[in-house]
Parts: sequence; C-alpha cells; structure tokens
Amino acid sequence: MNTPKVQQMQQLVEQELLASYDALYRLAFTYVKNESDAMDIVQESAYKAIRSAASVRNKAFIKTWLWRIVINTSMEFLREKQREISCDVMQEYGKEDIYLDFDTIEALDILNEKERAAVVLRYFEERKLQEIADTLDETLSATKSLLYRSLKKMKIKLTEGEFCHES
Amino acid sequence: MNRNLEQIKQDYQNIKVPDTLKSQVETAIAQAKKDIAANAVSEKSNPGNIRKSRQNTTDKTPASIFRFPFVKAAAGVAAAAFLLVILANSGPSVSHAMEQIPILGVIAKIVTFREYNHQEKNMEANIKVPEIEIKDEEGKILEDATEKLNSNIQSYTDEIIAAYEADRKASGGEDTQAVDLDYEVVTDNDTLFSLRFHQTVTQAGAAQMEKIYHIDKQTGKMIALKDLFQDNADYQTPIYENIRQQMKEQMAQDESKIYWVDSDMPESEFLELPDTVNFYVNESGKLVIVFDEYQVAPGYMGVVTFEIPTEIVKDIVKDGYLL
Repeated sequence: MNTPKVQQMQQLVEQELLASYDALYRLAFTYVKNESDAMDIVQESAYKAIRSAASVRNKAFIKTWLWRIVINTSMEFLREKQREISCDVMQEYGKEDIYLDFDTIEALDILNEKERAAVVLRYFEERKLQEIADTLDETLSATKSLLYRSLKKMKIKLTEGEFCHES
Repeated sequence: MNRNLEQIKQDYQNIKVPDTLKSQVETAIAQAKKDIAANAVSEKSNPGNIRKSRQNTTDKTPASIFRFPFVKAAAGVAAAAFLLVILANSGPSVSHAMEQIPILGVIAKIVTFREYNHQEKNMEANIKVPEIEIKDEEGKILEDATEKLNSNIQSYTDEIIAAYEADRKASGGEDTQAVDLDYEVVTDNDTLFSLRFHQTVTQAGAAQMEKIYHIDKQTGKMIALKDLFQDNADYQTPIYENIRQQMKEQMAQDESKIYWVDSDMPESEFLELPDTVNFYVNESGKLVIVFDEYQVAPGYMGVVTFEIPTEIVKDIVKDGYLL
C-alpha cells in the first residue's frame, strides 16, 4: 500500500511541514491564542498530514492543503473546548463590540473562521489570492468578497489598489 | 475609524514560535510514519481508523503525543508521576542531619555553575547546575551547610541527567527529546534564600517542573514548607482549603481556567497539599504555593501558583517568615 508515489508525496508533505511549521503555528495561534494549544494543533496537523499524504493528488496543493488542515484542527479544538466548558455554564458569544481599540491580533476575533484565515494568509503571510481560494475551497471572486467583508468588519480601510493587487 | 492593518500584522509577526516546535513536528511526523507502517499490517481488520490505530500503536508515550488538554488526561498522569519520583529522591527532607547551631544572618550566594550540554540528532540537553556558598556574617564559609545544599542540588540534577542519558541509550540516540534546566534566586530577604529550578522536558508535549530549595538565613539550614510553621501544626488543611477556594473563584470568573477541583474526573481531583509541594515567599512576604504542570490542572494551564493570605495561617506560622 505504500507505493513509491505515495512515499514521494509523503516526502513532499514532510518537507513542506518542516519548511512552514512556524507559519502554521502562527495561523493556529490566531485561533487558540496560546502557545501550548497552538503547538498541539501544529503537531496534530503534522500527524494528520503525513497520515493522509496519500490523498493529495497534486503536489502543487500541498501548501494550501496544510493550511486547511491547521484551520480545521483549530476549529475542532475550539469546539471540543467549547463543549467541555458549556457543561456547567452556558456562555453568550456577543463580543462584536468589545475590540474596537485594539491594534492587535485580537482584532481578528470579530471574524469567522474563513474570514480569519483569509486575512491572515493574505495580509500577514502575503499569499496569493488563488492560494487562499484553494485553501478555503472558494472561487477567486468569492475569496475577494470574503476579504473585502472581513476588512469592513475590522473597520480597516485600505487605499485603492492595495486590496486586490496580485504579487 | 481606520484600524491600522500594519500594526495588526506587526502583532502577528511578533507571535513567538517556541524553540521546541520543530522537534515536536518531527516527532509527529515520525509517529505518523510509524503508525502507517503498523497500520499496513492491520489494515484489513481496521480500515482507515486513524484515531484508534494511533492509540494502539503509540506504545512509548501513550496518548501524550498530542496533548489536547481536555481529552488526553492520561498524559498528565504520566508527567505527574515522573515529577513525584524526582521529589522523593531529592526532597529537602534528606537534609535533616544538618548542623543545629544557630547563626545570625548567613549569606548565601551562587558562586559558580557547571553545565551539562549534549546535542545529537534530535536529542538535546541543557542543564545548568549552580554551586552555592553559604557564609556566616563574618564571611566564613559554613562548610557543612554549603556541602549539604550543593549535594542535594547535585543529586537532583544528576537524576535529571541520568533520566536523559537512559532515554538516549535506550533509543540509541534516535529519540526526540529536549531537556532544559535553569534556575533563579526567587527570594533573598532577611529570613530566606530560595533558589528555584525550572525544568522543561519536551518529548511529544512539553512538561514543566519546578524545584525550589530554601536556606533559612538564621540557621543556614535547608528548610521545607513544614519548617515555616510551628511543630506539629496542621498547616496543610488551611492552605489546601484556601487554594481550593481560589481555584473555584478563578474558574467562576474565567472560563478558560480549569483546575481539578470538583471535576468529573475523580482520579485527578486535587485532594491534599503534598508535603513536598514547592513554595516560595514573594516580595510582599506572602507564601506562594507552586504546582507543576499537570499536578492540579490540565497541561495547558502550565505551572500554576497561589498566593496564600497570611491571616489564614497567622496562628501557626513561626515568627519572621511571612508578613
């Protein structure tokens, strides 16, 4: 079952993991906001990625595929935590107005999971729009409007041309 | 309002990537490969069940490879057990045969340190072993007290080095592990000199452990928590009750905090204050109790500390230690 092709893909996934674990860590950190959970998520993601390397058909997608695993693992983790906590106390999530003054990554809290990934990858990791679209499984134009909506939510205005210029 | 995206980006770029992350990722990769190999054998009977196969095959570090705090309590148990071994073998209680002559105001200070460093493939150890000198007020070295403390510290650090060496030999140097031991003087006031060790063992997850040595400045003796209190006084109960109460208050105030108190996991419930618990006296003269990672809370809480209000022990504490 470990055909040469699968092994080669595994090798490539491993290389990409070792090349980009710090970016993956930062991405996870924007979701879970603490070191040890973010580390766990990167580890778990690395494990999952190697385990399912065989399912990657095109090596061009390894990078975006890893991002997607990290996003999904982070969300899985947050849901798990949420479920655990809500056993005793039901919490209301109405945080929309709290973060108005922050110029920190807390500002991302206002975004949903897709929006957050889009903003991080586009503006902080400076990835191409197409890569982000692949990560989020969206069309290019849907990704653009997602980004546009996110910035609006964060109350950020960019100058003309800054938004959609392609690198 | 126009929030500055550059500033947010700055904050994002300032997220510090832990030094140990790379080795953890490597461990996860190695583990996944191992599991794939193991799975290939049992593939037919157990098709594609990743979670299950992981549990079956991670024989070396059961459940600890991914330390998700809420679902993997077993990792905590293992780390805590390791800690207790260290405490039992190096606790201050072995030092009772020390000289009894009272001295006024001894001076304790770190004069030098030795380092144990090792690096090979994915194994790394950086262990600092300080050497302390204890002098009386005329500057004469108190040899017995000095030697006692240093040999205690050394048996503690030897233990850590031996554990690392044993893992290295057992794996032929192929293990992924980083051991780091550092220290600081946490208290140096009229009554106490306290030296705190931080140990971090990174295998799959990282475990942090603490060990604090105290020198009574009046006697030059090493002391334990019980020595702060009058003979035979029950200091455990009031301190334990107070910590429990603090835990509950913190949990009620902040949902992200979890302690093992009134939890649904009776096997890890915080039931008593161990005799060997780490402590120090902070700048405002308050007793601070220090718990290692996993000792009273899930791993993500890290090392946790509780400041104890002096009034709850004011009737039993010996003069001069606490304010």
